[in-house]
Amino acid sequence: MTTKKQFMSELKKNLKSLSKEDREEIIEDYEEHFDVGKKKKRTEADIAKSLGKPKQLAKQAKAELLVSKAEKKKSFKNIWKAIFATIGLSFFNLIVMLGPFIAMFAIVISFFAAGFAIAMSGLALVVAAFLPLEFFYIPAFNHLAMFFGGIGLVCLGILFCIGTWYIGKGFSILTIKYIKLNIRIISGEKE
Amino acid sequence: MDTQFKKGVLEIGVLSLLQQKDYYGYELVQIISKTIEISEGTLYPLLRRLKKEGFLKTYLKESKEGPSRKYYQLTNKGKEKAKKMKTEWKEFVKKIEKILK
Repeated sequence: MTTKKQFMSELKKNLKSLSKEDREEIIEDYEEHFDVGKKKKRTEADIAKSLGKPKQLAKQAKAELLVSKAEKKKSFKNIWKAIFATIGLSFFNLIVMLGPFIAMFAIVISFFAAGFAIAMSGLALVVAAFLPLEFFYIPAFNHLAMFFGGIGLVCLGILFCIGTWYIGKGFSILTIKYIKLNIRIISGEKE
Repeated sequence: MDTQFKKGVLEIGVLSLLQQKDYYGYELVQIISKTIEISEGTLYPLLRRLKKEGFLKTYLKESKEGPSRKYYQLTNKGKEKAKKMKTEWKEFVKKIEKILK
């Protein structure tokens, strides 16, 4: 048997991390629900039961807010927070959410590393172009070819990194869409 | 009914009801939970999201029985969305029915 008081204090306890404005809006919604329900001659326990678990409702509210925050500002931190909040909604999410995110993150990081490596090798070639040729024991090398080849490689590496930047951006948009889909699917479960 | 199925229709249900008139939260929850079996509390996050995304706006109105209630109303953007979703839904159902026959 849950009373309104118990329900609300459990809800408040789980909404502590939110801003005052968001928290109050959520609390008011459920307060009003209780008040109207009581006017319709329902008991507090009955209303509380059909509302669902306050802890789960709080988690859901938090996840929704963090996702819309991540949508506005797609920083790594915001997306990570949104993912974490969504994972908290159910165990099922741990695998479904974390897997693809880690995979995408790994792809972006490795592409950046590749781009960086290409640019660095180009830089090395440019530097090498100013060293005497005997240094390499490869007589076929030519200073000019090395210099321009090196510059070419640096440009290629930078282009690679820029491309990866856009891929990362695309991934973050995808990730947010995916989180939203998950929230919608998972949070409707009736206990 | 399947959970994924339910979630998808909640949004269209809310928007469609609000096309007819403005409702306050409790009313909306009751109407919807009568047809679609969900825990009543889950509708509020949906309403807040639709409001945040600019499809709904809210206003307070006095009630005869006590404190004022928060009413939900479609914005122009919400009206368009409701129309679009309903058309898409009807087309979708038509196609599925063809398969199910």
